[in-house]
Amino acid sequence: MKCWFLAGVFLAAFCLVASARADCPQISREQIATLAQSAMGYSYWWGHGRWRMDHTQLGSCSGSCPDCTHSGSYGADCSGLAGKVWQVPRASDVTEDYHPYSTYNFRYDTDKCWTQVSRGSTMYRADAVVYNTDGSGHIMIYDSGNAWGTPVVWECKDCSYGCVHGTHTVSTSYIGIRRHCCPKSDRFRHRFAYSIGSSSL
Amino acid sequence: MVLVVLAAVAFLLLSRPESEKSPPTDNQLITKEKDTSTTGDRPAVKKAAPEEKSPENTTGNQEKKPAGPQVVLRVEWGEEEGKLGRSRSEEGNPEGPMAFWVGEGGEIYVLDQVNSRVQVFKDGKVVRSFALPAVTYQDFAFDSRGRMVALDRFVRDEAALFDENGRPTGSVKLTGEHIAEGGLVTAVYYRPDGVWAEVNNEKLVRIADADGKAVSPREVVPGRFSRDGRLLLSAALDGKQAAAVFVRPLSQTQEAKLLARVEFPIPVLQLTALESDLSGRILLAAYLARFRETEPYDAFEQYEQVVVLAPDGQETARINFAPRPLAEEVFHPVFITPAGVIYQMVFEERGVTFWRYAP
Repeated sequence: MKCWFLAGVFLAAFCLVASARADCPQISREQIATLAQSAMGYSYWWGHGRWRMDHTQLGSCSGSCPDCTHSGSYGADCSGLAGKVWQVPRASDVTEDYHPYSTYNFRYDTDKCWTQVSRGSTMYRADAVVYNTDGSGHIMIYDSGNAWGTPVVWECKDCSYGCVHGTHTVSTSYIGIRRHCCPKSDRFRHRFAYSIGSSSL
Repeated sequence: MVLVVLAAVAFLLLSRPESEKSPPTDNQLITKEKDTSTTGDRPAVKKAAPEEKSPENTTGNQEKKPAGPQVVLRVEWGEEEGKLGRSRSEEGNPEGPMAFWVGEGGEIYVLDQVNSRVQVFKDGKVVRSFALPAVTYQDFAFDSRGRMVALDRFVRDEAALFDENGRPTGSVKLTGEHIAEGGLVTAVYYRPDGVWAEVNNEKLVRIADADGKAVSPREVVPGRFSRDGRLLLSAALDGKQAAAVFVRPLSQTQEAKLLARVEFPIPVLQLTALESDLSGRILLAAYLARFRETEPYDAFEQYEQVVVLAPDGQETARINFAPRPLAEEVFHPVFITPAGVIYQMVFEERGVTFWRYAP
């Protein structure tokens, strides 16, 4: 009887996990990278997440957020960019203003469409690094690592910078998070890709 | 019966270790299995010592150095003169001063870009300050005359030039020949022959002449210039706990030669400096960290380590510097003077601390 009860509990738990993950749209790492790249050049827009694939109407931001002023109808903040390019918790057109999660959610929620991963592990393209401490947070989408181990990321950095792509020293305050549902086939090891005698894998 | 099968499958799926869900890479295996504190041939390195106490240092022949890095300057966070700007928002990139520079007299130039200025500290006090036109500069460098170049990779896409008095004199566009993307510029140098931008820690591109005028075509060299002007230096991670240092004569007729393979006691998060001094020594700095594999996924060991190599590649010293655990972005946390003196900039909750060590 006890075995049946435990089996039922496991089954229920499995179904719950499976149904939760089933809500996350399938997306490949390359699709995530393409979406992230399409946002580059757009303005930082506090609490928002929308842009255009034709790379027009970039908008602008001035001041110091949250007391900043945004002009235009497109742009994103760091978590808006992450939610959109990861397409979580649901599919969302880039032009739809949709900002479902903050850096707090990305850092601490474990029942969503992503898994926390140690920074000691290899990072893959389209993973993210996030920190949230004492009410402050930031999230960046990982692109690659260079010969020095310096990450190259996509990020909506802040009001002064907007959404940019480039190297970024990432302190140990950040943890790694990995989107569910990305096919393993397009996983690509970037960090430590350099070794003596070879410039790539 | 069906339920039993489903339950068994569910149990197996849910109880499967994370490591089995995807094949671990070589790096992951090393992380989990290699006990670096006991297997390395170098002395075990303890967790970096608490603030105010110098981290333990060793030399290649196991000699103890009489003293480790010393604090030479502490500056509080703030906007007023004599303080340094810190930017932290709810949803955005946190940052402190992105870079610093040490002059011949030991004065410390700090790129206080959050406050749109450069401040120069000497004996704990501000002796000079001048304004920057924006808050988005991330690196700077000076030539022997005191002229400055400041790097804005993202917004202005420029190397901005300033005279000896800190007055703007012009700017040079970064992107163009050999620089496809400003965000991949990793350093800027002001040499007697002009301004050079480093791309992705791999190559230098000459973008301006000594007068600050843009050059075309742009010259490229595969590495950083050594201080004595005879070599090009480059470095690359080699696995998870080692880095390779290469040298090649400036003539470029010869291939790069592996000078040394430097092993570290724990995994390298990132290389943070590669420089030579006027005596020909080469110094490589790396930020080292070990992370927990489970919540809270934090770094349970971390510190900066600088390895000093003789011109023949022999290791002559290894110095541990303080950990830099805060989230604030920094572009260049380590500076090495022409005499080989090492400085490190560390962000703390109360302000910024500068450490110094002369190997």
